[in-house]
Amino acid sequence: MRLPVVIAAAVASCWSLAVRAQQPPAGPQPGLKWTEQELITAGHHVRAGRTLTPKSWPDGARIAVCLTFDPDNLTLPLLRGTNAPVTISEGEYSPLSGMPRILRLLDHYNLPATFYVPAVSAILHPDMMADIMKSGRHEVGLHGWIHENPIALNDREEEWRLMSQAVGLLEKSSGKRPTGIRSPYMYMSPFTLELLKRAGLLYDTTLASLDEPYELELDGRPTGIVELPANWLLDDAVFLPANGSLPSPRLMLQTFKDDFDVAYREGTLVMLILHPHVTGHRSRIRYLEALLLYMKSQPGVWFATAADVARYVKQAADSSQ
Amino acid sequence: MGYRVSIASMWVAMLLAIVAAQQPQQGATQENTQPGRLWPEDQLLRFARAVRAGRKLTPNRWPAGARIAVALTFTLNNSASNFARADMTVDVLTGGEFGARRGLPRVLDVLDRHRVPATFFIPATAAIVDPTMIPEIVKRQRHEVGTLGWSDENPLQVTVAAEEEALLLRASDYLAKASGKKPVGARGPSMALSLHTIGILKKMRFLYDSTLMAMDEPYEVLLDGQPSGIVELPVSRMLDDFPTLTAPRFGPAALPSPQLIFETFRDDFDEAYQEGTLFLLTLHPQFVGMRSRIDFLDSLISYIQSKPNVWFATAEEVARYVKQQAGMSN
Repeated sequence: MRLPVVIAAAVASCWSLAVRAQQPPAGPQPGLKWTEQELITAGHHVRAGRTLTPKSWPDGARIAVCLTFDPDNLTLPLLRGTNAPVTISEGEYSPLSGMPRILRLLDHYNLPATFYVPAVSAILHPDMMADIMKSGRHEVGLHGWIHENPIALNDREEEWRLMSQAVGLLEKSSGKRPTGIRSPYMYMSPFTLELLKRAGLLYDTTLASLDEPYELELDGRPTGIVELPANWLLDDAVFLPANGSLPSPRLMLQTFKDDFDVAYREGTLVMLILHPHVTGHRSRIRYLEALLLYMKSQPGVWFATAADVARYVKQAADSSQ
Repeated sequence: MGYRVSIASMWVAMLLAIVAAQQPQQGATQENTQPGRLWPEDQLLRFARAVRAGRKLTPNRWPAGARIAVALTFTLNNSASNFARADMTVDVLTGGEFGARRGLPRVLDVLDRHRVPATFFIPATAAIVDPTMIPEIVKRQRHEVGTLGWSDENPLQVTVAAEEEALLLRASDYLAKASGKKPVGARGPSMALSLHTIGILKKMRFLYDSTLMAMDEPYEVLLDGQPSGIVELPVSRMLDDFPTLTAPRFGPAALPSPQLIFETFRDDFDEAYQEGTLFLLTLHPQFVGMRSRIDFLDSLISYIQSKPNVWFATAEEVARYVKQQAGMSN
């Protein structure tokens, strides 16, 4: 008698999870009782300040393009405390197979890129770090210590411990102090922005208020930190994984190209968010190559590291004041 | 529409629940769901290296001057994992029956038409329930039969190594009797390996495993940092019909357009052909054997055959060849 009960309970819990996934989170809705002032305080905690798209990009370019890659590698299973062989092997695909293909492609077209490397990825695969640094074109940025979820930490000092530990480790292994971050999980806790200031970072690329560079404001005050927005529509990990919503690299890259076309018209920035374990596969790399060729074929496209873009827009904005 | 969406999300939720259940939550409490963040570097390194990828085994050349090896593999699990869980839901079991009665015959017909070999990984319980499958496969005299556990059981939930070994031994004995040949290749049941599996395969003198995903070409598996002698013929979730082409009632079905999915299979083959390595496809007769899909398999094989210098082989033949070329001891 017990087994059917357990099965029924399991099915019921799956059903309830499924139902929940389609609806806003259940539970109390305290925001309904907030005053206008409380709403503004909550809604304006982290906001977009002035836009930072410059009047002109370097050498008269019409648009800036950042190719960015997040080599998460083994960090997610290790963070969760698992070393199950298949899960680990999926994580190894990035440093062993995906990254070499991506670096070859970037070398072939002599393009710069930015790699947001969780510190533990650099510890476990020092060869990968050496390969990234070899050409001298690429930037290494922060992506957490072990791809920790800052919201789940919910602890300012623990978040700071991991962030500063990651800064030190990346400085040691890349030879250069990182100046930018893509928040791990692409989540920010209520403490994160203040910690980015504490770490003296130049820019962040996690948020999505606009689709062009802007200055971040914390509680209504300019922070001096540049945001190079990261729109999830330009993130391969949303669409292509086994549980992704559109596992067709051809159709996904078609969307990226459409996005580029409008950005080109508007003269702003394209920030591509790619993952070696996703786009580094044999069936996908050709579509990335086709997109790169298409963007290169347009006149006035400035391919740059995110740090170069952030520095440029910040200087341009400061000197025009 | 809403009904279908909730079925799909139910599957996602179940998969997530299964994934969560697979993972030893060492020291996990409600307050610490991210235990790895507290570990020192040496502990991380030790923990991460239990089962890892070793040296690449792609040979300098494939037999008869071929540029690429192609291994068509079929996971013939039907309803075996339902049996393992004692889940006798009548309507769900029909999916497995379809695999045996319609999916497999259609797949075998396509393989016959092209005269190409294939490898079938079969849990013993699926063969027991549908005893005509193995004779039909063996009759072709081209195909290989490999293990998929006793009943496609999840090895991460079989926590005792001796029990996992006993199940695999029993499965191997059953397949040896039913097919007339002792299997030399294993695919992890439920697409999973435990930390014990590679050691068990070594002890039972298996030649190869085909479950891991660290590369797109053959490699040797490292066990606690040491070469294990086991050849890995890696799979890929992109070269598998399960994530995308299941039937909505029986699995996730993320993009039920066989045309787009087979386009990815072909693109992957093209790049593998350029790189000169291995193209290993993983299909399930109960899914690819559906009417709207089977012709895409037929066309893909025709496409591959239209290229010069392709070596179609069973996984066993590929594993033997790369092992011998690499000078690995037995």
